[in-house]
Amino acid sequence: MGQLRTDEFDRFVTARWSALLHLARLLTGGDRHRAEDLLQESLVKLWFAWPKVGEQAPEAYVRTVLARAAARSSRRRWWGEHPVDQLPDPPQTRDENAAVDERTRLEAMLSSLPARQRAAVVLRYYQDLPERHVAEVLGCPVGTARSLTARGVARLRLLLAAEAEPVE
Amino acid sequence: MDLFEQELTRMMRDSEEVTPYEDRHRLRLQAGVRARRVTRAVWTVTGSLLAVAGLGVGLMVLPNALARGGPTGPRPGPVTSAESVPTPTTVRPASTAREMPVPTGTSATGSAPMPYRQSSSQSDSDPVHLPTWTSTTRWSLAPRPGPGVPAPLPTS
Repeated sequence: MGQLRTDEFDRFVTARWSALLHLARLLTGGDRHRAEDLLQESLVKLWFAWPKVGEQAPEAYVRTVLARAAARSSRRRWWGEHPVDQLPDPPQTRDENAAVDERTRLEAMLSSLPARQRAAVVLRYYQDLPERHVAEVLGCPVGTARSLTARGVARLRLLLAAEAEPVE
Repeated sequence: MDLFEQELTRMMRDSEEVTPYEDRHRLRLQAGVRARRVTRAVWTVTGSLLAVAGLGVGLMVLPNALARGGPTGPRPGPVTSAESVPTPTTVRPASTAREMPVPTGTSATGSAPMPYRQSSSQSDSDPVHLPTWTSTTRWSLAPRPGPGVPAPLPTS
């Protein structure tokens, strides 16, 4: 029984590790170490809840634990940015560097959001959850989830527009 | 979903890196599970010990409280039964007479407070000292005594 539980749990974690780590990374605004810590804590909780949720929806359970823990967090990452005289040239072709640059840009924008807004935006647009489910995961009313998502997207829009403006 | 939201969704999905589940992750997860198991065991043992201690203290205190609380329980009835006494208000048990002293004024004990002032105010146990003169204005009108002159005694 214990070995079966261990095997099932291990299979689930092996299969979903990458996706869950990416979700944790988006929820923490790109903080890789904090994302790993958050995921480890969530998986430890999943291990103890595995007899109840193992055959139903373990990923939804982890997602809920992750999102709530990230939304509670008020820690912000300092990106170590320094002003420079000249901006680096934007990449012209879509290569690996461009992908990394885009990810960095996205994570920088997400990290500027408050934790609850960021969690709502990630759940709504990355996980593609309807507003009702976003509210359930965050443990808040639907109106609050809708408001958090709308404010988060509006802020991202502003940030992206400011980034697209030419620098004189 | 407008263009910006579509772009946001695409950015979030395209930025996913393939990260394999490595042995270090597995070992760390196992260590986390062990630590949490120990923590839960400690909490369970602590809770059990506290519960047992509380139960023990309760069992020790409860009999003493019940023993002390004997008079507060149902009092034993009078020696004679209620049917044989038509007016139970006139018959008092001996214990009630001790609790509520009858103000007869002839008690020699002096320890119980009297509900009214006795006519004789010369008792040493009288807590209120009434003035023996009637007006204080006599002190202000009278001449101040000199250093060698004795003060006049107030008249009652």
